[in-house]
Amino acid sequence: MRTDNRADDELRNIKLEVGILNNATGSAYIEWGKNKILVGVYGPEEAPPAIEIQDKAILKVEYRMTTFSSLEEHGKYTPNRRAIEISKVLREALSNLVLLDKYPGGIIEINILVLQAEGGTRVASFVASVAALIDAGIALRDIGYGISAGKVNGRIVLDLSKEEDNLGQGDIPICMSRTGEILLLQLDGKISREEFEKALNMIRDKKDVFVNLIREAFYKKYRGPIDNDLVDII
Amino acid sequence: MITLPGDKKDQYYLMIDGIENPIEYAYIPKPGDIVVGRVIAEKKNVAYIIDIFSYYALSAMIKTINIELKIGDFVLGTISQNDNLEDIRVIKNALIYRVPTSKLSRIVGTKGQMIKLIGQLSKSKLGVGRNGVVWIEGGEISKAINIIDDIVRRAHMKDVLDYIKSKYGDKDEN
Amino acid sequence: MMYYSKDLFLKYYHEYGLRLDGRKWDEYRKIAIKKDIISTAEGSAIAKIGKTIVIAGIKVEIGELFEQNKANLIVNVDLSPIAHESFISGPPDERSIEISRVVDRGFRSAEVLDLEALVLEPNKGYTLFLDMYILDYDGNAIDTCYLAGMGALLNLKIPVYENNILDRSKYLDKSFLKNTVYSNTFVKIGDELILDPNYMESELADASISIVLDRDRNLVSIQKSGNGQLTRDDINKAIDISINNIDKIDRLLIG
Repeated sequence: MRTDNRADDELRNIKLEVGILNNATGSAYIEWGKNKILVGVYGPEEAPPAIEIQDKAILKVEYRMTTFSSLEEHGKYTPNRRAIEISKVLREALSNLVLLDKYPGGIIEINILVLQAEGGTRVASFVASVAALIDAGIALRDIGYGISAGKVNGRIVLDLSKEEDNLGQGDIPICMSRTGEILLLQLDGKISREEFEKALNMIRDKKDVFVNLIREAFYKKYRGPIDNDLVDII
Repeated sequence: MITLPGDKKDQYYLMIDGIENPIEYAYIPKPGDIVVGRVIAEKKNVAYIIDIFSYYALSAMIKTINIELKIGDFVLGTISQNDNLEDIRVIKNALIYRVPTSKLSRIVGTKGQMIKLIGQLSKSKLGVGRNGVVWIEGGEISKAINIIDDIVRRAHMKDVLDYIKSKYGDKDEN
Repeated sequence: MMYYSKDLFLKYYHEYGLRLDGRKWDEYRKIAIKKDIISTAEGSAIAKIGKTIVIAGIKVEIGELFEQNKANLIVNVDLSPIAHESFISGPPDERSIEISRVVDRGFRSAEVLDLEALVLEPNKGYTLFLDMYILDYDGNAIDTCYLAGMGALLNLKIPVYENNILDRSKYLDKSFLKNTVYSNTFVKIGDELILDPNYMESELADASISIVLDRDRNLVSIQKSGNGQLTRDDINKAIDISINNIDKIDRLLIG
């Protein structure tokens, strides 16, 4: 049995809200297990001449954690190497979904701030970023989603909690487009080829959870004239 | 029913059933659009660079426009076929308010009914730029802003005109 | 984004006696606070003034003392790029540093925390990191940071330090709070003094002043900022208003 009694393919509780910030063009807030992550999108704006690309927009992704987001010690103020790597792989994954050639010479900036972390922050950030991009009215070819798979007690399980990540034999964050193309894929651990196939299939089978999650978030935004307030929902 | 990007072929934005245009849509400049921008730079004797809050700024060629602009001025102009800004006039003494472009048509209303109503209720003059900018001149500006915020929140709902009339109108007018 | 000129602000103010967001000169925007919202922190709160949102979290460590006989309190305010299009990532700029230092000053001078009681050995004690992140910015970062920071301190839990190990699952059973602080920020636009500036009012301001008081109505931190000048009358008005607002802020913090 898993430490929190979940089935092998059972995800932790996920709550997603959009349009909760005033300044950011688009925004989203996700609670996934004990993760609490805020995403703000700015743009499309004109890219600085030094970095602009003539035929499409630049996507800039910055993943940061607050110094109090970890159960252990006080974090650093500047992004560490892990945060920089996560920013890169998230940027590359999201670039696949954004129709960058609709905004030539432009820049779209995605700012991710992890307020509280509990395993699987990068896939949660990916889902929230997709929602924030939609909220910003930026053209996407499709939505995407992500889950961290892992191996615990010899079995492939989905959505590792922090405890499972520490005890288990593998951490496999994967982000996919709705049609199943792999956008982000990392493996840290030791698993067999069959186990890897199993993980991919289990993740693919969870697609509808996320389609509904994102749809529900926007339905909440438009259901009434009440503004979603971060202070109320956090 | 809410539909997401990718739900249908060639759908890239969020749509709500019954509403033709995407409910969230980042502005993409088109020739012919009348927009509001801010002068951010000047290429001496050649052009002014105008930020229209999109993914590129426009140039206003000094030879074609017949007025002098200062950095920081807000201007109203038309996007020409070759992506310059023409027919420019400066917007003076007005509060400039950016709103989501997808909600602009609700702020203007069918045949301009809504924007006319806002002007009447707040006793001010209003104008809009296609790029999601409203300007408000004179009158009870903060009242106009509250009304605009309310319309933006309700852009996907029906009967907003009546709602605004009853909520913000003078009680003896009803 | 909203933009207007100083002339328009003053013209509107002189005609209607109101600011362009409909407020009177001494009127605060809506304030909300929620405490203990981050379980990984040893004290946390989120505060909102108008549309400005700040989240504060405290992390407790053990360290060498910077000052004799006092535990370490390190206060930092982060102007996150998520909060405003003009906030960029990178090392703190002068604005960010000034806000951090002004916020630090109030908590320190008022001795909100009993830092002496948090000393463990002659050169070793608790180190408290009080970090604030601005999540959405519409002016008045200072007052919002003070609210969030004070809110976080109100649910501070100090982990037990035993056998050279900091045990974050066990907490000391006593409170280390000795005082409460209340901040009010004003700006001067032309000849008009106004309380709780929004973003545009901050941009148009010639000068600003933040008054921080403690429970006993002592002045514990004052910061005047900006190129413009303030009259003695401005400062007196600001102190009067700040004293009057203490009860309202207190009710929100405790509630």
